[in-house]
Amino acid sequence: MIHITKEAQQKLSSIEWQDGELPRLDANVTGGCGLTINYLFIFDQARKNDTIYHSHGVSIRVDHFTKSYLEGNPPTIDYSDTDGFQVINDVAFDSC
Amino acid sequence: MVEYHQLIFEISQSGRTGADLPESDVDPIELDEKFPKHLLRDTPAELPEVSELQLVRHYTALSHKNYGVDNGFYPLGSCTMKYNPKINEDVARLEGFSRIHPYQPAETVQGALQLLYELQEDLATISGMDAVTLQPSAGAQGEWTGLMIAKNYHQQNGENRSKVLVPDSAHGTNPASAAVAGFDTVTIPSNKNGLVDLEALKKRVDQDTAALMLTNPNTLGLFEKDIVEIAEVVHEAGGLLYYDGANANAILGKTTPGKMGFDIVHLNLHKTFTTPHGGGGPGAGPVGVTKELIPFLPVPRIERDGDNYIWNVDEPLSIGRVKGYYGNFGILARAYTYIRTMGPEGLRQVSESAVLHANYLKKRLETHYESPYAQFCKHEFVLSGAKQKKLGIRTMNIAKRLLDFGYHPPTIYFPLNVEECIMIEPTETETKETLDAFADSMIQIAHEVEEDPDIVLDAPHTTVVGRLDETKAARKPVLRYTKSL
Ligand SMILES: Cc1ncc(COP(=O)(O)O)c(C=O)c1O
Repeated sequence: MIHITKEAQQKLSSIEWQDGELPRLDANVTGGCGLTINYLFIFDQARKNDTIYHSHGVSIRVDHFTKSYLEGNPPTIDYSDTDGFQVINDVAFDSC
Repeated sequence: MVEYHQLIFEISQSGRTGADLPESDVDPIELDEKFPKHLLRDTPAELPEVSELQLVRHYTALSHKNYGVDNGFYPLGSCTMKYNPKINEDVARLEGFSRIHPYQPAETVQGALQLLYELQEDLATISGMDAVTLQPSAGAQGEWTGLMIAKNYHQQNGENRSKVLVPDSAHGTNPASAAVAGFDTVTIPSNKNGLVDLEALKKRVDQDTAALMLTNPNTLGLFEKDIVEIAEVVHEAGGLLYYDGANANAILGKTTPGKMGFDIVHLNLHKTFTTPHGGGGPGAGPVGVTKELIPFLPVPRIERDGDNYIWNVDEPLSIGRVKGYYGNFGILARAYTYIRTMGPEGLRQVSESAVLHANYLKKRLETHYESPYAQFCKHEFVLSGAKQKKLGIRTMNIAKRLLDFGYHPPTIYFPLNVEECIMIEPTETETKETLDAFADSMIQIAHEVEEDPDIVLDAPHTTVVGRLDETKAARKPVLRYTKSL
């Protein structure tokens, strides 16, 4: 469901998580007339109905809403020292 | 029983017709003798073959799947989905209006020209402007027309101002129109009260500012109380003030953009003035201007010459024609009917009721949803679904759940500066019972989010079509029907 590049895995494994915090892949709706889903990669607390993906020793939270956009369209989480974490794969839909 | 939810292509039967044509009494023509081969089809077009009754049932069934203001509540913020009185339709269909042609000589259509002229005058009064053009056929086209007027005005003064300022809460058409008119846009942030940040504005206004575009009340439904100072700041730098009239329903008969210091105004007749909205038009976005800008208005302009109405095409500084003929006449006839049936006092009551309804709903809902701006609102207000997001439910889910209660959802995810935004505009034409029923549904959904989230997550449950796979539709759109589908 989610691809994580080697660079991102390494970085995530090196982070010490505190107080219930974990990384989250979060579908964010923006737009108005034409709606676009773009993914944010953030660190935050659990939400009700979260799913946790475990991959190569890292855990990533996804809420129920975000999950519905992942099926069949797995985004990739990447990391570089210059740009930080990045999610590749946005979805535009419902433009009028 | 045949289900009429199929495509018309699917009910087609080879050889069936809806109309019989008489035997042809002329010799057939060989098509390939008359047309080049590459223009001719190899196989016949797959047109549906159905009887007249099948056709009627098919489209009647489709029409029942529509949802409009005539079906139910439609609180789509920023869109003013109010009731469109049926008398508008009667007037627009009068033969003297519906059976004339734009190419008829002016002396044979004096009544229609009088209607257009008087509508221009009425809209000028309502907006506090000195003259109005009825040509633009949408709000966005009005914006572009207004910005072209601003551009030509500055050029006439020997200036090539390149920037248009827009607040971060602006409708997407504002920066888009500015770009199409050849300007660069500069975003002005809102302050924590949801209003234009005056200090940020002062820093960004300069000798390159062609105009500031603003709607007041703004898209958060809040009145820009510093509007007079905002106008001064822009005017002192030589810029013009553009009023996006999308929210004029809040100010009819109470104040005018002219009084607030605006120089150019567009009004959306399909919002404030009860002409049909949606479905891609036809709409109308008349533009009003102050005296100095009149020479730049589009041509032709309707003028009065004694007792006659005439077309004036002789305006050397005009930006030219922006629409074929003279705008969407049938729509203009409807707006004229509305204004004349309401009268000035009626229009003032429209705004008072629109504002009262919005504040009533805001009060009922703000203990259940986050309300980012505490002050009284004008004709619409925004809530945030941030509280529900922490419980794993998004504004999108709430909007879909509202479909189960039979409502068109509010505008969502706009303005962009409010997280998980829900933007509600009830309009003046709804009853208190409707407002209460809608509030009850919104409150029930807020409870469901806490107690029974699955019912919200899986909504809608009662619509003809359930949850669509939006991602698939975006990535693998099927834009062409083929029989094999
Ligand atoms: C604030 C605002 N400005 C401008 C527009 C553009 O109007 P139109 O859709 O007629 O082009 C809209 C319409 O949705 C709007 O809400």
